[in-house]
Order: sequence, then structure tokens, then C-alpha cells
Amino acid sequence: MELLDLIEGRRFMGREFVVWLWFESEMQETNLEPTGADPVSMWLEAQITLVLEKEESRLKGAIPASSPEAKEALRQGKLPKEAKMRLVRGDREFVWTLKADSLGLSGLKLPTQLKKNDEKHEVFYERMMLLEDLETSLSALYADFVRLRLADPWDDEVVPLMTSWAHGEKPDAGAYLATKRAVLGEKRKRKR
Amino acid sequence: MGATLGALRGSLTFSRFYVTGDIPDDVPGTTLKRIRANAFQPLSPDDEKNEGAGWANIDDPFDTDLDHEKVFYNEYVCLGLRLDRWAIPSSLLKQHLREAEQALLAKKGLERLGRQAKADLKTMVVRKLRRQLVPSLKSYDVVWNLRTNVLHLYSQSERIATLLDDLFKRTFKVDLVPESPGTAADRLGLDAKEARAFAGLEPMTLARLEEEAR
Repeated sequence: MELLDLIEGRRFMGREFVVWLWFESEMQETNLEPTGADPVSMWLEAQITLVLEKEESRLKGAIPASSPEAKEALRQGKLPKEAKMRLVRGDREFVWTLKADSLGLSGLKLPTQLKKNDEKHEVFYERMMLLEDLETSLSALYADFVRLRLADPWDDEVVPLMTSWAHGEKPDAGAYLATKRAVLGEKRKRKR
Repeated sequence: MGATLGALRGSLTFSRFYVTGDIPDDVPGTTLKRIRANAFQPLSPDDEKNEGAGWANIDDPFDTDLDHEKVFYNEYVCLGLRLDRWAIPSSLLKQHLREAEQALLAKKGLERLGRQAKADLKTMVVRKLRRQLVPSLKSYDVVWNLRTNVLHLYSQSERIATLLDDLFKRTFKVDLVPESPGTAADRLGLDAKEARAFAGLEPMTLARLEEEAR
């Protein structure tokens, strides 16, 4: 695939990734276990923007993703264009806004210990180490999403469960986790 | 003026790139000369171009005399992408142009100026005003991790990304691939079945068909 196609023709995967993270977070009560990385707690908070072509729903609040309006937007076929997120890894908390179309992060707050008056290089290394920790988690989550998205059960099993969730029904979390384990477990075995 | 938000301090807003191509084994040992050759050069009022970009110290955009210590932080290459621009307020330019045009018409006893004369007059006025102004300065942090070959540009502007692409390739003779949902997926090492699925992927919807039909 040409680079331009790879970039422009697959931007929709970013929006699908955000909605999958949202679904995952609700199915697993925020406790996510990305393959090959440390477990994390993660959820959407404060604001989310969902779009379908030129129609846009911007929702704000403590946890707008839990609001009826957010699910209504999904039912209308809208997907998240950007969402504010919080991730907890060990005793470290990260907050940022994810731009779905580019996977760009903005307004990222790092849980730094050092202060701005500390030695400049040490401050920089701490920031880069924390950033890399966060990116390791996000990359592992994205890799899990892509593996699942490209596997056969996505259309037949995962999308119906996500649709049921978006429509306010109670999807079978056990069935979802079994499907996910089957796909990602298979990949893990093959990698060994 | 130091960068207020970016790699060194404050909250972080950035875009990511993958550095690919023929990356030298010893980047610090082989690229400093080229970094210095592409360091920011001050704009001149007589330049035809309206802006100029080049490398600066990540911690001080006024410092363009780059050395090893200012650029290489262990496994990181740290640079400021400095962009200076002549920003003449349009109302100021219009007023000065009007005055200059009237003075020229009076001097030559003419009623109106031709297109070329107007263009020459504008160039002269712009250069005169530039001498009275200071170019606007912006600097964007750029951090290349040599261990992962992931680069962070502390901006999400496409224009700045294009400037970076040009300056970075010219300096380091390597390629930059912007991270996006597609390029990130492509780098996962998809097997043949996944690659086929990826090539034919269509966007999903969580709307139910009967609701769409309403």
C-alpha cells in the first residue's frame, strides 16, 4: 500500500480504536491488560467529540462517555474524533487528549517527581522515561486492537457485541473476553 | 525566549514520526557538522522570502551555535526547529504603500502607476518596514530517540511537520514517516492473512441498519 493510502485511507482506524478502548474499559471495569505490557487502568473522561461526516457531538462532564448522549451519538453512527483519557500504571497517572485521526496526543500531563528547578538533563530524562512508559502501554493496546480488528471474529462477534453495548443493552462480557483471548492468545502462541 | 510547552517543561502536545532509511550507526559522531550547516540563519530585510527555518538549541532558540553538548542528550537528539517570519500588519503595510504611491505619483507627475511600478514600490516599502520591525520567532522542540528511532515533534501543525520533513531529511539524509493509524498498524509486522484483511478494510459503524433507514 502506498504511504499516502496508508495514512489517509486508514485514518478511520483511529476512531475505531478510541471506541474500542471505551468499550474495553467498560467491559473490563477500566482494568486493561495489553499484550506484552503491564496492566493499566484506563478510562475516558471530561470531554469527547464524536463525528459522522460533518455532524459533530461535543460532550463534556465528569465522565461524558457514560452519558446517554454519548451512546446516542454512537447509535447515530458517530465515532470519537478526540477524547480525553486517563491511564493509571502502577502509582503513576497520565491524562491527555487523544486525536483519533492521527493518534497524536495533546495536553499530556506527566506524573513527574522532579521539579523544574532540578538539574535540566535529569528533568528531561524523567519526562522522556515517563512518556515512553505511556507510549509502551498505548502501543500495546493499539496492537491488540489491530490484531482483533483484522481477525475473522471482528465482524461476526465483536461488532455485534459493541453494537449491543452502544444500544444500551448488556453485552455478554464473558463472550467478548473469550473471543479476544482466542484471537490474541493465538497470536501470542505464534510469536513464541 | 524558551519553549514553554514541550519536551523540557509543561504539558506535552506532539506528533510522532518514525525515522527510517539509512540511519548512521554513530549519529552523534557523524551528523553534528550537517546540523551546524543547517542551523538557523537570521532573516535579512532584503530577503525575497518571508520566513526562514533552521536548527537552534532546544533550550534557547536564540542560540544557534550548536555543539555536541547542546544537541545530544544520551540516546536523544534534541533540537529546536526555529521558524522566523516577517509579520507586517496589513493595515500598516497598506498605509505606507498608499503614502509611498502618492509621493511617487506627485514626484513623477502621473495619475496612476503601472503594475510593475506598483510591485517594485511594494518590495521597497516591505523592505523599509522590515528594517523597523523584528521578525516573529517560534521554536518547536524536536526529540529523536536513537534507540527506538521514534521522533517527537512538539507541534500538531501540518505546516510545521512539512518544514520538519524538509529540514530533517536535508540534515540527516534519512526519511520520516508520520505516525497515523495506518502507518502504526503497518509496522506491527502483519502476517499474510492480516495484511489481506488490512488492505480490504472498510470503516465500521455501531448504528443498526433499521435505525439508519429511518
